[in-house]
Amino acid sequence: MVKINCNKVSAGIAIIVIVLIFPWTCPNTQAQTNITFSPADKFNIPSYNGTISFAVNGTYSEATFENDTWTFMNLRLYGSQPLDNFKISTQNSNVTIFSYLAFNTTLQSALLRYATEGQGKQILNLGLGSQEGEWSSIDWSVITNNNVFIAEGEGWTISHDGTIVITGAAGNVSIVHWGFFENSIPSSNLPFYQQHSVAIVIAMVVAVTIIVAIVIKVKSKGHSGEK
Amino acid sequence: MSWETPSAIVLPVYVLIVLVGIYLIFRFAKNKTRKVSSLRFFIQIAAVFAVFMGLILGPFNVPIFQPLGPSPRDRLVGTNFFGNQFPDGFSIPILACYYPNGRTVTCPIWQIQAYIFPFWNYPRGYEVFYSTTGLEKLAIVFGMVAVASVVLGRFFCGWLCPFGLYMDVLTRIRKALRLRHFRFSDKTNTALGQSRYIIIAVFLILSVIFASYAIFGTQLIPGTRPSGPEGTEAGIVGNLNEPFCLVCPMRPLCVLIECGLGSMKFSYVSQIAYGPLWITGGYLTSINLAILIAFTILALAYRRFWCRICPLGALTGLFSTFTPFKQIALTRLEKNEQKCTKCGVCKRVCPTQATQVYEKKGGDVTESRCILCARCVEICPYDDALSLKVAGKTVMKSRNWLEQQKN
Repeated sequence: MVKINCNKVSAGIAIIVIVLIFPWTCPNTQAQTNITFSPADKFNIPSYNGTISFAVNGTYSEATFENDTWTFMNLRLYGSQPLDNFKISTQNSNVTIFSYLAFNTTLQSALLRYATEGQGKQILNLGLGSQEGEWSSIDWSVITNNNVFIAEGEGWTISHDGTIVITGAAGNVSIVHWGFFENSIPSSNLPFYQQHSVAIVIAMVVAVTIIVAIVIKVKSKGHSGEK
Repeated sequence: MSWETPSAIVLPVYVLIVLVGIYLIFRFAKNKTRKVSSLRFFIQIAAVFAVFMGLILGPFNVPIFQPLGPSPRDRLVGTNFFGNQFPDGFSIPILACYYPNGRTVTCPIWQIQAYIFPFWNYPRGYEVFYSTTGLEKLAIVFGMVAVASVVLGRFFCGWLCPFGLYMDVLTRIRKALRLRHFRFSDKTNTALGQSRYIIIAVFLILSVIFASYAIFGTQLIPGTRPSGPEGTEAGIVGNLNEPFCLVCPMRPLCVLIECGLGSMKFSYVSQIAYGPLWITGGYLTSINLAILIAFTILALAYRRFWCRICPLGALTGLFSTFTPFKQIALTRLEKNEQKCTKCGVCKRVCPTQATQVYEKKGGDVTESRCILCARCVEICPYDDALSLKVAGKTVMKSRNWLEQQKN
């Protein structure tokens, strides 16, 4: 008679289950390990006399310092959307990054907000891909305190690779990316009346207006005829 | 509809103030020759507030970009009704300039120019990514203007247009300074009226020329190709495809007001002037401002000067005076032949020097130059000689104010 070791069987089943479930439950942990940071963490750029910090807790998968520039991979601030490849450098100023928000409304847009102490220079690249292959100032706005837009060339410039250089800004700064291209609203899958709903409504309004106007005209003519 | 109201209280309070204001003017305005003018002035101010509500009130207590909420432009009444298919909102035939943040409706001239681009599938045209095509949008704009023209005609010009208010304010300043205005000869005035149609045609043709790279694959004007040399897009794509806006006097007025209110820095005004076309861009911007100054001076000298050549007025006038639209226009000025004594006061007070009200014997005296301001109705001293009718109902009629004042 064979004696079955229940403990061994249970352990074996447990191992098989874990092996089967593990890849489904933890797919990302094999790819990367996120490092957490807090507002207390400082990312110094000694030769530029600059410091970068974050206003909230967050994570990144990798942070490298090269050519006086910090590069954050898979940066995610608490309450913000992720930034896959974010590069930042600052000269003679301390930068505190608040948030990065991406909006997927009628106008695709993204916003990076930070505050700077000291009127130095900030060099940033959000790592967003340009559909045309290169960037120009029309895709971007830089806004300082009190929601004031700054003209390109008067405080900020952009290079073709999307690197934005901001000089002389103090206080809160917002960098806005206007995505005119991305995610065109697909219309071909919509029913005809939805694709052309506005035109249909306007055509109906025009028709009703003209009919009402004709009726009023005929009526008023009738009245004047009676008189 | 996801219209984020500025505040639950702002709109009801606004409507209440307008209604109370109208009542007070009717109740207490003593001067019989200024009663309608006072009412019109009040409604013009109320209309400007309605059109640029976001600009005046600010971003409705939601900072525009902190965090990035919908900008006031996205709060357009029409946008929220029509959504993605017609993101620029209702076309109202007044100079409700596209450029300032916070307007609630849109100038049809801007829309027509802008939609010529997507019509040619220009990859960077405004709102090209919306499902409705440019051609369809053009039809929608014309449909809206047609409805507005049939219902109210150039009443929009006389009572609701912000630039009309600007010119009326200039007229009031001139009167306060006790300066006399000038008058064009009837021939010159007629020629100015006809030039409106040439002006609108020229600017629509220019819109197509500036879009030539998208249409024909070649630049008719060097530098108009998108994605060209560094910096050109800012000067070309954003502005030159709307050539009328570059010379429209309302645009710099709006931009200057926006700068004055602090929601835009003056330096941003010159943003279009960067890149290789810096000189051209700067020059064009200077033209824009120079035209505002020129029309300001001209409006001081000639009442409602801009209205005489306004292409938007021409578009509205075309719909409301062109047969068969003229036959069914719901708002019209009518003259009673039996009551008219040909005193000519109507002709003298008309701010646009429209002549039919005097010259035509009777009946419908509305013409494309008439902005339906009702100044002639107000000043005519004969009972029922002139009347402003909407849908066959008399809403204003002339009164013997001379006799009333004696009493």
